[in-house]
Amino acid sequence: MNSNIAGKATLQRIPNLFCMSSSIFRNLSSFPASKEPGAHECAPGENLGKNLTMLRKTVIVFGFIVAAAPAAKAHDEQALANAPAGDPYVKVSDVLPLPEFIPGLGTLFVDPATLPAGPFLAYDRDGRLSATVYMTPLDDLQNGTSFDGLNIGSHTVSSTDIYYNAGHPGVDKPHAHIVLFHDENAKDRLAE
Amino acid sequence: MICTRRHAVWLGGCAAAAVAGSRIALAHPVATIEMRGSPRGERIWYDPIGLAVSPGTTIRFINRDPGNSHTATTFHPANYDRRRRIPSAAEPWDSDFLLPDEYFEVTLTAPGVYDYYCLPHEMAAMVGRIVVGTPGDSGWEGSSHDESDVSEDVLAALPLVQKILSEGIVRRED
Repeated sequence: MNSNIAGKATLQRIPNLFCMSSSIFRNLSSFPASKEPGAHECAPGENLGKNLTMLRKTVIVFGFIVAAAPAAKAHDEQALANAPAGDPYVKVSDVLPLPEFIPGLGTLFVDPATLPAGPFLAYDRDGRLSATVYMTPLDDLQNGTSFDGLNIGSHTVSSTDIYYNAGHPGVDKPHAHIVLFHDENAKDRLAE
Repeated sequence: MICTRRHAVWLGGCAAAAVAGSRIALAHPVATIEMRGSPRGERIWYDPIGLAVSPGTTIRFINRDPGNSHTATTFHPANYDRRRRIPSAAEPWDSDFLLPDEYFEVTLTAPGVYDYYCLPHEMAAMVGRIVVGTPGDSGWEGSSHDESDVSEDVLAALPLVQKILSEGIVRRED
């Protein structure tokens, strides 16, 4: 499964969950049989029955989505948990003149179509996903470019570092590194 | 005449390189310029950024930045169609990307001022200047006055020729 797409799919479920929640709230609020002009008059028992049926369906759908979301998330994380990250990701050092292991960032994989922002998936020397890195050129930000809806390698983030970088092959412009570490020891493992 | 070499320094090759270097030193002097960077890449620079040498000196550019690659590339039409900022009698050079501990050598014979830059880091004003010989040398060509092809940051980063000549070595000021 394309992890990028999977990541987006998981994120896109969030508004769906909100929609379903709103639907439940709407249904609950209509429990005392609100009437609209011209609406079909139902017997109190009939109206209540319709609402209960709608609520039951809504709850079932909501429950299915809630149950399915962690399963999809677990699948995505498993796919990217260990190097090499599969297609469309490529090892940065295979396509750019950069060290295979960059102190502080580890071994990077990126989907070239997402340059310059990334995400760059950062693996330690044992091939364990340790961080997700974004690289955002400062002048792009200043000129109004925003980088929205970026994917993430793991849904667990223990800490984040943001710092300036003067540039390197692949992202020549001075830019910010935004590093999301995926566990407490990740920074140490990527350091050297 | 220009002589360039590009190498990777490996553990076993260091000794050989040292021996070779000492032999070269007998023939003509060798000066080293290191490419350096802070651990997170906030700052990158040549060390020294300004250097005065005699004609015939071999310059060795070596990447000492463990997290980045660098080039030493002369401003010249032959290199990405840039305006010339080296003596007209000199041949341009481009080290190509040097990974950590790789090095590149070039021998400079034409007297004058050589400005060069790091291909991925020109925007961060990673530039350097080498002065070969002195203004009294035959064929001397001073620094370029053409400022149309370089940024103000680059021009500000280049040490003054007079400072390089008087001090011999100019390092980056933090």
